[in-house]
Amino acid sequence: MLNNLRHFLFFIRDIYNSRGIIWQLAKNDFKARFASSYLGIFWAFVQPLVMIAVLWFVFQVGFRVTPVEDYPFILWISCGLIPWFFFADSLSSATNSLFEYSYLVKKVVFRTSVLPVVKILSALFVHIFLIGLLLLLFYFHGFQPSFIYIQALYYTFAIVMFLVGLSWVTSSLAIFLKDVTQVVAVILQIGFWFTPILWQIAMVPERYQIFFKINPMFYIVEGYRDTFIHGVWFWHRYNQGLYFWLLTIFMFVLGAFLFRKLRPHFSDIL
Amino acid sequence: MPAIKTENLSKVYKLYNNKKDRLKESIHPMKKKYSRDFYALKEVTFEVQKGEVLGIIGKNGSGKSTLLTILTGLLTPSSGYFEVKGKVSALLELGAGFNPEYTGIENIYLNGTLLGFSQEEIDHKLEEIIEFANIGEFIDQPVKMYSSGMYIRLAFAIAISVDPDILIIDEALAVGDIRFQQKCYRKINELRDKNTTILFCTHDIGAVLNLCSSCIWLEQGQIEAYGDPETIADQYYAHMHYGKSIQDYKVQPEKDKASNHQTSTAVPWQSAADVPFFGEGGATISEVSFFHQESREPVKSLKGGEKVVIGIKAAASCTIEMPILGMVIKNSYGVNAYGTNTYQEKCKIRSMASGEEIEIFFAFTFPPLANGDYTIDVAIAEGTQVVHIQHCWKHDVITFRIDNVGEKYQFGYVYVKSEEMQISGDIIC
Repeated sequence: MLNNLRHFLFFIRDIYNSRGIIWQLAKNDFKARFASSYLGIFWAFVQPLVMIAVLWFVFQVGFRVTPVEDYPFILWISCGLIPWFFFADSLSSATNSLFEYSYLVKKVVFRTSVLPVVKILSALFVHIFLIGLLLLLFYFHGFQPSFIYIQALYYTFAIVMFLVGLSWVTSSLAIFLKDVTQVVAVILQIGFWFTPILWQIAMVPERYQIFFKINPMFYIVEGYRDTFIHGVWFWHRYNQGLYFWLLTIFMFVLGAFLFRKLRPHFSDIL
Repeated sequence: MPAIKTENLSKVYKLYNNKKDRLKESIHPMKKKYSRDFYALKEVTFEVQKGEVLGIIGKNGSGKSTLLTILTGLLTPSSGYFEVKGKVSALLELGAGFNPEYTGIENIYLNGTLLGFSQEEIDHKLEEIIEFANIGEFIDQPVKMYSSGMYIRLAFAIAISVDPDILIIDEALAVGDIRFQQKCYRKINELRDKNTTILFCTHDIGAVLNLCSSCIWLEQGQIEAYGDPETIADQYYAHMHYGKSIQDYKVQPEKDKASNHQTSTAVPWQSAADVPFFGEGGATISEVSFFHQESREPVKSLKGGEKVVIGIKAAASCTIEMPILGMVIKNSYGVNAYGTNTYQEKCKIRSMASGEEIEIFFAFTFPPLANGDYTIDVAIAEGTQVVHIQHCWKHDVITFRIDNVGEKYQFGYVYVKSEEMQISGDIIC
């Protein structure tokens, strides 16, 4: 047990020591993602923007949805969509990261566990841009920036931490079972509707709400809304917060354990 | 103080029936076994001193690459211990971590980063790397456009640019053209003078003799021999040509009781039954021999001019009307040096009934061929030179070497004795 703990700490320390490499690789990765297309990095932002625009058009212009909680619908759904996009994008690319970088895993000596982190960081660039865009949207709808917006940093940090642990699990398993990639895609699809992104948790009868609160993304999406719409600080949701962080720590430990156990096999299989 | 030290280093590959078993085994709490073991390396122990150049030789699959990959840290040994002191730079089989979509320059930065250099340090080295690789405007093209030669040029240039304490090269250089190889060998010499420890594995015995200060010969994952390059290279050479590969054929005396040839009692037959063949298979060649006419000793090396005999034994599995037996002597590049067959030599063979066996001997004075390694193909067909059915053609059933001692500097396919060469005209002596 003590030994495992020591290994875990070494594992985390190595990641920390590789931060220079992570940063370089993430920059490269972000550039390379769209390297061969003419519009390049532009594409990274197109997909989420189009999605938001379509939803806005369908609901606000088409169905004439009334403002939710006194906020225009576009602002309200964007608060839910933006963290979800980040989550879905990071998780699916991080799960695949070891395949994508197999030429490094097999040929170059370095910490392979940084690769999922690199993918998450690379997706984070888009996320930060979208948050900036969200702030602009709020501003143009006449909402003055509030100090509580700073809380977005906390929720972003929380989701990154959760993703790191989770993607260590999925990426290392995906090498052995290619199916994991597909399973992740399906779960993401279900998750999108299972998380209160396009709907409010208040619509669900009280006694069933607990099933939706198990989903860690519930905490994150609600957190973004608390930040930009409700103006609620995260320490007011300590129950949810406690659950989320316990789950994150569990994922982190499980991920580090699995990755460390499976890593010696990577170059044999890839 | 040794730069590299290994003790009882072993790598077991677990062979799994499928990927699922592998996963199950690696996380099974009770360590249940789902696999079979295969030793790629077995208890390898050696030391390399700082500044030494160690060559590793051995045939394909003998564990050379496994050993080098373990020393770089990419593979984890199954058991045993190794220690590598200093910064390692490795060039593994057509390797280097290149992203095929990135350009040469981008890949230099990527690799530099992974090796722990900052942006500025790489900027500094860039010029030198590009110059050494010398692949012209391709440096700005995606690596997927490169020929394998360009690929290895860039990889080698990166590997040496980091001023490693230990340089590990795996067979890679063979892809480069002769000039680049020479350049690399010069560089290796230069690094050696700077006290860099170098490990490289190769099939080029010449390179081992020229560059290495010591040599390891690996055979089925174990060290077969370890010592100075000359000795090891000789042993290895001998092994590759007359060694186990022929012992495997089991040189067995002919035990045929009612033999119709007087000669065959003393013929050193060797089985060729396991050699794969092409042809209809109506008759197959079971045994062959290649021996000196006088001594009846199997031929291992020749000078040219000796009287030798090639024997072929074939068995029919259906009726063969007009059998033709033939042989071809080829040099190591596969060029036919000489060949003939019974039809060509106007020699009729009785037709064979199913199950019948025949022996044919070609006795001749061996032509003066140039130095090198040679192999003999044998074949049995049915019909005439023009119209025939190929029944069984076996490649390279016999290997031998021609050694015209002291005549190393002639070139071409054949050999002319110096005493038979008379040069006249405006000569001094």
